[in-house]
Amino acid sequence: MTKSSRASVFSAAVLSCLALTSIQGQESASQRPTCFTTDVLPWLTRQGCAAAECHGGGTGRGGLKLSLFGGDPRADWQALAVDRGGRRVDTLAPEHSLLLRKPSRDLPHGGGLRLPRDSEPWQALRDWIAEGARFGTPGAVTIESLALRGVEDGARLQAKAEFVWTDPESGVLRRTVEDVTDRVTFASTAPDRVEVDRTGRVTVHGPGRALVSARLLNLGAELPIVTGFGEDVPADPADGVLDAAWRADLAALGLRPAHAAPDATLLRRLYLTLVGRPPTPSERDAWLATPASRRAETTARDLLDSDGFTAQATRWLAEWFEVPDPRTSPEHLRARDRGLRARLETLAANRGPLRDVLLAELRSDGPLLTRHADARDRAEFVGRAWLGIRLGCARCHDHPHDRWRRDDHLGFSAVFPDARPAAEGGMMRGVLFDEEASGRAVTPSLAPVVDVEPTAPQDLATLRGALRDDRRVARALTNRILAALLGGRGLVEPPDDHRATNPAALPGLLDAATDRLIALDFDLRAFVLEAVSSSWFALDSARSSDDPLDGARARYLARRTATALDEATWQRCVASVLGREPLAPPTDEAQSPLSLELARWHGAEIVQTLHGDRGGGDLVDALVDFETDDRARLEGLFVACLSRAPSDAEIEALLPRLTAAADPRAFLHRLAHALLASREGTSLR
Amino acid sequence: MTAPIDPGMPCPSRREVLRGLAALPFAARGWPDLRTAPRRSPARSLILLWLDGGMSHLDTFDAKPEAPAAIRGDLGSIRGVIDGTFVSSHLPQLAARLDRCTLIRSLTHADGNHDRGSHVLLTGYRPSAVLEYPSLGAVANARLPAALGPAAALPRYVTIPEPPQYGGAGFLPGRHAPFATGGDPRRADFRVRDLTPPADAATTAELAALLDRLDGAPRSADEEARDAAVARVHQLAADPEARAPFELHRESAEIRARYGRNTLGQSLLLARRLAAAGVGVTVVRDRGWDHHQNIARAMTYGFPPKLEALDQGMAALLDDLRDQGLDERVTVCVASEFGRTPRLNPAGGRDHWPRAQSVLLAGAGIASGSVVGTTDARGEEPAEDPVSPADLYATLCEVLGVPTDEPLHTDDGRPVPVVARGGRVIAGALA
Repeated sequence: MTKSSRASVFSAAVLSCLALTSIQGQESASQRPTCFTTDVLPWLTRQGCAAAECHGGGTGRGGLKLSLFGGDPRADWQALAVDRGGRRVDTLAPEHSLLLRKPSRDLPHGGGLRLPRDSEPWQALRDWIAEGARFGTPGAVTIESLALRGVEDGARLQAKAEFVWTDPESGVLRRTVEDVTDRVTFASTAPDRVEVDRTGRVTVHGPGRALVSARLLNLGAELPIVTGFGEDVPADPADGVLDAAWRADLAALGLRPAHAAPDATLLRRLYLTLVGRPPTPSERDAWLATPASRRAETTARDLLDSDGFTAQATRWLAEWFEVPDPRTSPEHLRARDRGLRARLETLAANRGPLRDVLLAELRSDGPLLTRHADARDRAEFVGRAWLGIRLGCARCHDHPHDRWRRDDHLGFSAVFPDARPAAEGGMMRGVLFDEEASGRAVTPSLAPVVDVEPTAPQDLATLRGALRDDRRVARALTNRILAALLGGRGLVEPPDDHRATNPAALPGLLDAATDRLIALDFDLRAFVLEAVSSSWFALDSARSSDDPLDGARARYLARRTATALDEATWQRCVASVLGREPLAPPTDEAQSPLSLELARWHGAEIVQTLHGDRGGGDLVDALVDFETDDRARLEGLFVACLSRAPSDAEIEALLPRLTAAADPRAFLHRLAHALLASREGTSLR
Repeated sequence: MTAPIDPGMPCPSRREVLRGLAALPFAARGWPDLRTAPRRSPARSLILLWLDGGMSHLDTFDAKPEAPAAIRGDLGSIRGVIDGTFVSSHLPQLAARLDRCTLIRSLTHADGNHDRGSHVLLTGYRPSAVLEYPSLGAVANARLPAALGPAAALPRYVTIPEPPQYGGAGFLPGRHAPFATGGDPRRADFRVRDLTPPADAATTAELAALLDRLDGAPRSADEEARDAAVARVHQLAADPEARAPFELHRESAEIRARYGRNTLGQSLLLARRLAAAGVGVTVVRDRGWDHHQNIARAMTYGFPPKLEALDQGMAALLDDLRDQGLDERVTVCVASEFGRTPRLNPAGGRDHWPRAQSVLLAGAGIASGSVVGTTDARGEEPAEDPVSPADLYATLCEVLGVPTDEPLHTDDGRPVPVVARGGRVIAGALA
């Protein structure tokens, strides 16, 4: 993609976000010359001719192969107007052209009725054929931008495109704005909430946020549509920057936030989030001894300064950079993965700007890169890990509605040296060996990813420099951190798929958080402190009966979502409670939930640990020996296992049983196991 | 000697089940009640015997007795009971049972390494840099209706002992990942990993149920999924009959000997038990079929020899399914990631050869005595009726009853057809 067309896409997105068109120009399509790319191809896409199921598929249909969604105009023109002796078009008798007769069902057509006779697309193709079925002079007519707005009180969408063309008589560059609503392809990111049909008619099915989009050739425009839930969301003058942005997002949605989580829940959440384990009873005592208004911030500050946070941040980085737990790696990769983990621990301990620390790893001998042998894998990994974008599709084919083409992928991949010999399919710098063009030289190019001067060295040093001030890096990093703080789900999901048509659930909060991370010079600990001191971090996860499990309140952070503890974290919880080393996690990461739960309830190691003398006995022995009554023992067990005192209902149900137990120690063993493996004990709430 | 428990027989009475669960109040409060739904006819099940490494087609089901020695190898061949078929002389029992099977000889694809070959056979798709495709077992788990009655406690996708590479859930949610039995069914002390509850598990379960009840409703989909899994755990713990399908030691010595006292044979027997109990897809993974050197010795030497174990185990399975009437609802498939080079290499072995391979099908929905396709005289290429891994995948979906009209969806909403584009049901394989 050229720099100018990329700028056009960006400007189209900006225009669309304003929800108003500011395209200025004369609306007069009739004076403009006709061009195959701008005037014929969009119809073929719009009418479905170039879809994957039809002529745009891998082998085409009925002997006619078009590029998917008009991704290759020249090839499409060749197929329609030149191939097979040009028999598909009859410039002398246009209406006799196969290109018109078949899709209008004048002749049998496997694709059915696609171009009703005398319809606008039929007329456009007819006129083009009548004018000679020419491709047109490349660049004589281009579409510079596309904008989208709502009309008829939002019941319809209108798409307008800015055409730039050279007047054939005067040679002057002219601009015209045309309504292209009838030839764009509409889509919605959430059709269950906002549906848009092919004419642009919008139907709102329910409240929430959705993004509708229009596509024309390789240009796109998006328009957010927000339908409120109708609840009052008053501003809070005490809000900091992050809370103000969050509350503004909720106000736009008309979603009132939930109450703050109970004190005990927040305590446990802070510890599990920042250091990956629950608080000890003495840490709980320290929390309770701190004035309530300062508990969260004071505790968070201490935790962020601890080795425990460094270990937790290491785990975060491992997830972001796709480094497996060495204990689960195949034997031949274990040493490598241990080395990678050690490297990540060094990065996590570094108090310097996180952006710079991570960008420094973007080097040709960096272990995070070199674990990917193929240069194309490296390119895609850089996209996912540093930029939060997915490039993989473009490895194999062109998606004309996406920014990335196959040539872009090749050029960017060529930036990364490849350890494998070329004869084995490796991709050495500057040379590509691929199935279709063996031996064809590919010029390394950073242009698909960053704006750099064409004369600048197309290498990793240039890339690092360009990414340093690239907001996408900051945004992707911010989203990753927020996901870690919110139990695993960020504001953009999946976290490596930032694109215009995958918007953030709360765009205002993400933008504000990104600004704060930049303003704090990427100080991870300072940013996390600010985030966990915010109201949105402290939201309760409890829901009412009319609040669906993962409904709007969870989706838009009006309520906290409870997430399952992963196996390694749960093992650390058990170990922390019992004061011993964690058990090794299971070797197979892809276990079914049944396997995991069987291990938690029946696994020999867990049972011996919790019920026997190895740790479980110590905990229970301490309670039995040092507490004077059963109620105190019960409370002690709850505090140890769930970081809270038992409720009145729990005391009422359990105390009689403990008192009546023939073997109180055995009963407490079972209860400890039940607490740790309970719904609450296996969840981050 | 106790009579073997036949998982295909009617399950314990409702009274017996309830008695066993009397100590657990969970059924009435909060956790999904798996016990009280009415029984219905169990859906079809699939046993996939995955010969990990690449089964040589010329040394098993597509022998070429007329080919030069450097191609036909040293194992000898015999006529199958179907005209025109030649199988290894070390597979006499299967040769005599081919009239109850469909033999596909013309499966072909282009992916000759273990990773890629396994992926394309187990998922129907070629590997992608962008997507991790789910295996058939995971798709069946996601798409088939939930089992009712006692089978509801069982996992619906099981691997013995571990899943093959690409045998997981892929982009589908983790709850569709396989349940791995672990261990070696050959061992006298074999027990499925973590299935046997510890002493006094009922007390712990009861306490957990009490705590969860007092906690109220689950707060998220994660917690709801956890509750469902825990309900299964506690039903398996409380009801010995629910665990019975996994308890290989309940089989008689005679039955176990019939399958062969080896890992493959006992794994097939365990798979039969699970399929009979209603497990949707059971994959038996048998390693060690990657014979780059001295293939004749590798396949006929050992304790037991691989071909002998395959022959005995599969013959016993086919007979067992027929004798118990299970061949009307259990399908069997023997497959591998690719075939092997027709020409022996200098080390007397065969290397990877995806251009031709054999697959054996039998049981529910499968034609009897059918042969699909042929290879050329050297076993190098399909000569007639080539079929693709996507075709095989479509066929197995058809016999299992897995709906394929609606696509699957990735976590970012991308639709992915169940069957890869172009995959078609192999008509000659269907009954």
